[in-house]
Amino acid sequence: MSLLQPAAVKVRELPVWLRHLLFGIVFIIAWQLYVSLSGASALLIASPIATVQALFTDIGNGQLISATLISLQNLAIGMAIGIIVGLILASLSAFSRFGRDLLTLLTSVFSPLPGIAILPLTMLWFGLSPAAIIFVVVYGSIWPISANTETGFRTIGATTRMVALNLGLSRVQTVRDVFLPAALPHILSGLRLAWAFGWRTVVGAEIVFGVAGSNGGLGWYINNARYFLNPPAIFAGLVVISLLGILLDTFFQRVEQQTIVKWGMKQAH
Amino acid sequence: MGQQDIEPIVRADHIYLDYAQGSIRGDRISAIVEDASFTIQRGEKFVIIGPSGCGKTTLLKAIGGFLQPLRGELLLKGQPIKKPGPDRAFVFQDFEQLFAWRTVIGNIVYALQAAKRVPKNEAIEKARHYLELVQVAAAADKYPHQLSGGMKQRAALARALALEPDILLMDEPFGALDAITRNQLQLELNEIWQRTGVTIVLVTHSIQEAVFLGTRVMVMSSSPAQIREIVDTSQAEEFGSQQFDALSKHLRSQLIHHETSPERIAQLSAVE
Amino acid sequence: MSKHRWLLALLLAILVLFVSACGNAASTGSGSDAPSSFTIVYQPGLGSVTFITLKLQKTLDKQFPHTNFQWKIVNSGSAVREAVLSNQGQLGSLGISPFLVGWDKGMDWKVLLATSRGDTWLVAKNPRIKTLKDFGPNDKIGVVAPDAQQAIVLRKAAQQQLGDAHALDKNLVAIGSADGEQALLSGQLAANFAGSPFQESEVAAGGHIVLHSNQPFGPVGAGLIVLPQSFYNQYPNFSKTVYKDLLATSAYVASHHDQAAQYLAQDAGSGGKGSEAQFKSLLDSEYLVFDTTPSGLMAYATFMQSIGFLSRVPKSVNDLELPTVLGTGS
Repeated sequence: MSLLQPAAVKVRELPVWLRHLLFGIVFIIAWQLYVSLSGASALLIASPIATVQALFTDIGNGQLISATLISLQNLAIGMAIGIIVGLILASLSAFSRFGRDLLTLLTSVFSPLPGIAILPLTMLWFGLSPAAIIFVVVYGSIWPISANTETGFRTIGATTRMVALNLGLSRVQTVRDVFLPAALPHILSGLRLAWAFGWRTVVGAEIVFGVAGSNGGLGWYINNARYFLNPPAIFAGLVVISLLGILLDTFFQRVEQQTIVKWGMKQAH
Repeated sequence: MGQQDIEPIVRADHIYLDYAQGSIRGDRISAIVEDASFTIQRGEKFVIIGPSGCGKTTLLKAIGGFLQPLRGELLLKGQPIKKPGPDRAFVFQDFEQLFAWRTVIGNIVYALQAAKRVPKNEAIEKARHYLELVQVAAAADKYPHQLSGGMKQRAALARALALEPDILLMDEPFGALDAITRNQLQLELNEIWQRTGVTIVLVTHSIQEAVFLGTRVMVMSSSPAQIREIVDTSQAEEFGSQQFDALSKHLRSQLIHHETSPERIAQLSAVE
Repeated sequence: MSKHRWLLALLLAILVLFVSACGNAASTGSGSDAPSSFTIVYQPGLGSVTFITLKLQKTLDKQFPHTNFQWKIVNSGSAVREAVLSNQGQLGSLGISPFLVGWDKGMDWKVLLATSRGDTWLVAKNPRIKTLKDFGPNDKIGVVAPDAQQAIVLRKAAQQQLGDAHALDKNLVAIGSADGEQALLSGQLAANFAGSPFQESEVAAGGHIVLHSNQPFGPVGAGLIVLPQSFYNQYPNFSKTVYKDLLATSAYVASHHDQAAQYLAQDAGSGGKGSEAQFKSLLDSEYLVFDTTPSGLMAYATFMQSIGFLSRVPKSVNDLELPTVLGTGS
């Protein structure tokens, strides 16, 4: 064990991204070793090499790219609508007793229901169209956004409110120029949650959906690979889903850097 | 001293103030501020001092338009005060009064654009002017969280002054600062007042601040929340001068002992 | 010290993974007589009548009292394939195409015998849709899986009628037979390509037939009963007995429609809540042929390879068949 110690100390001193990269490499090697040595059927678990091959193949023939774009599109549209509705609900709640009661009631009833659970319902309402998936994403985004935004509005300091009044700002100016930026740390938290739920919901819904072709996102891609007994493609799909998750999360970190961190508003998590 | 001929900018006539409706005792309303009457002249530095809970901040807020009197009249330039506005610009004690998401100069520019519809270029120029006045020009492009407490308060003052208000309302603006910075800012505020002539209404705990800064000091008591007296402190211009010490002593006794004869008051007020 | 523990934890985790990969094997008995458990996986529909009869007559239970027989219903041939792949089932009943996909990827299963072939209908409800040409880009077609036998028949028909086997690929929706029937009737699917008894109730509810499955490839393509070659090698006597039983049951069903209909009405695997009389009339259909010789294997394989669903074509039926039916069929 003392052999490892100098190495371990060195590892701790490396920059974060390099440490993560090393972990990733060790994991991939372990995965490859497992597949090669354990004798598990190649039809049950794919090796990293086979996965990379599948990645190249399906990126090359465009399948994976179009599937990714479709999933992202469903997510983007769903979130955009969810954000608008969520912000409106939160604003209503901030300005009226009725709005606050409405939001509390809706949130307590609906937010425990996962988006996937209402998919059968939306399939009945919207048929087998992208609208059903988008609706589910909208539904999944509204609650985290409205709840967090409402908290953000509610916790705006009395001084800030008084400054806005003192300047004689209109309602619109107050919400747009003061409340929204002041509540930004909470709003960003809500957005981050919404995107996380939304991404998971989109992929899950696409799998349940089973619709091919023009509506086939990453969830459909994975499911299709299952039908054609193509585990490397399933793994490739999972890798892409995971990578996109990391990418989008990094994007949010960047946004945070440019805003609330720069402004000294970042809260301890 | 001849100022009674000119109409005061603020007149309070037997006002009662409370955040709720107050409570009725017999035929009296029990409120945070009871039966207060006073006037504020243009261009003076009117200081309100009193123990915690005496309603001095409530009074300030009423002038600011944040609450309406339960009884009595509170007039600004002869008209009842309806709501807050940039003509009565506030400087709060809270360091968070500047918008964290805008730079120092951005805060002022926004205030000018939003509150007074000043076009952008003019707003920037004005902002720079006032930032220089408060000696914060070098930090114009920084964000508030990057500034020290004293600089934040200076910047907040610049924002309020830039609005060129009728009255500058200040709620213990230096209360959260260390003693040295506090004294520094008191001096600077005085100078700014001399240069701009703006009417200032300032709430404070500090006797020395009241005597130094104020042209008149209104002493308030709690239980009942009334005005004890209004003292002319315009002659006490220097720390440590005889008038200064006498007035300080007097205020202290007002705040703590509640006992002084009217003759004594006349004597103090007449000191040249 | 904490590094020590961390390493141990990692090794333990790897060990656990190794062990779990070897799990799930069908528990084996001693010798080559009979396995201690045997699972049969099949799909809902009229085509499972042979299995259902065998199950309800308890033939196997009497012959092999020490073997625990399990009967599982899954929604598609792909699901049957997965069950066999992960050793959750040994005997599977499925269409030609999912069997071939598994074979193509290296599964060692082969055909024990065939069950029956019939005429599966592509049923549409909208009068606008009369032929394959009438399907627009938003008209969804339900199949149990994209590689199901019906889906392959559809692609053959697309090739014949529209010039492109993949012309309707984007219209396909993977959906179970019962759900597909509901979706068709509620208007979410433009057409459903399932089988009996679903198609009959769809037509009774106002649907019409757009395609007959016995046309594109001709009257071939009986459903298959498959078994892993390794299992057959391990339990040859058991496997042959199962084969004989299925043959006998098939003959019995073919000549005793009344009794078979009774069995169907009792079991959920029949796929419908139909009455005995309804099942009897289905069994009486002239298109339903109880043919235990596999047919259409080469035709399907060649076609599937030509459209990119298989990477290779078997040299002959011998590559696909167990000794019980070796060399027979097409």
